[in-house]
Amino acid sequence: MNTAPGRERSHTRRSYSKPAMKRVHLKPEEAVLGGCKITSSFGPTAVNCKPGGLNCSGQQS
Amino acid sequence: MRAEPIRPRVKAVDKRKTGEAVLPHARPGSALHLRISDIMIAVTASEAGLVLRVDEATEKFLVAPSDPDAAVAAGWGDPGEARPGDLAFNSGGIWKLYRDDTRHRFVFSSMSLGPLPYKGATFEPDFSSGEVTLRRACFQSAQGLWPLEYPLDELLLQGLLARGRGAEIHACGIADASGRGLLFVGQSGAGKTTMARLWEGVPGITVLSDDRVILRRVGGSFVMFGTPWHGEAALAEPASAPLTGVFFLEHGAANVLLPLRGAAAATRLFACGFPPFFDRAGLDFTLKFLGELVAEVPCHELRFAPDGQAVEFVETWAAGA
Repeated sequence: MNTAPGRERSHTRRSYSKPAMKRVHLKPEEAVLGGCKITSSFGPTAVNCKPGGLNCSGQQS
Repeated sequence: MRAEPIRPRVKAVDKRKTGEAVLPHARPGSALHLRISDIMIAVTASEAGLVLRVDEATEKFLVAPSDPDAAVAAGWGDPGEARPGDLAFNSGGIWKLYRDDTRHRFVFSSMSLGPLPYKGATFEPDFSSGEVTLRRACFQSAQGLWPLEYPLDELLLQGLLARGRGAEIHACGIADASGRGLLFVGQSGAGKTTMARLWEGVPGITVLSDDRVILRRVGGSFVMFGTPWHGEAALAEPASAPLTGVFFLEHGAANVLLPLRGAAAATRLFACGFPPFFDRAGLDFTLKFLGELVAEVPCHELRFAPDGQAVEFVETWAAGA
């Protein structure tokens, strides 16, 4: 049996739900790759990960 | 009842098959080649006295030379200051992005290293090539160094992925014994490392990463890839698996799965991603990519108790997926 196109649509139509705002938590310090991550690193950022890291030799502070 | 195991589909880098060899250490003036999520990166030391060296996790991703997607030359020099007016993005951490005409210029500095930048990196607009300039005084060159040291390696991948290739997600990636890719998504403290350790002892599984996973569309399907950027469990494998399910981690007293669809899933995935916030086209692509992904791959919120039953709980779902 054929179903009228309009009736077919009415069966698949979803019920109305009121739009709602939902806040999603974003951690900017993680999302922007801005800081220290892997403490096993061996370059300057490894120093950066440790409080009181050494200054580069020859740099004027 | 569990379904019959299907043929494992975990794709690992088989270096014997391809004739490749891991390069243990590079010599001055040589190059190292990385393959991360099938994206090839070549790093060349442009002068003598610059010894390239990678950490243990990154070493797994070294491959034999081939045509790179991104070629990076590294050398000593003065990273220099950039014009403040060219500032495009301040990470609030150790790097800032400047735009010199159309090129991307990352400048890295840390007060623990002194007032001057310790590294600069300039890339073409499509990130296909670039140069890294290292301030020699900041590096103990005899030990070797990695010019793409975190976070530059991820920033480069971020740029390459955002140009139509895929997205990186803050997640633990598991390829189960049947080769199904299960992605456990969450920010720090959500339970990624806990989940990785729960799975680690399960026979036949591969932990692609306990912290960072790259998602790409390959041959019409979504695939997840391990990365060198591991978490506390230090689990990182250069392997891939077809993405079967996405689980947003929440701590719970019992194991519960709550379906998520559409915008609810896409926004949570986006919030745990590393999109280029400074790149309009890259952001557009990332949103579109994640929207397509959540439309095709089942997504759930997974409230889990930190015991072995969480593994069986997810496997039961995966077997019926």
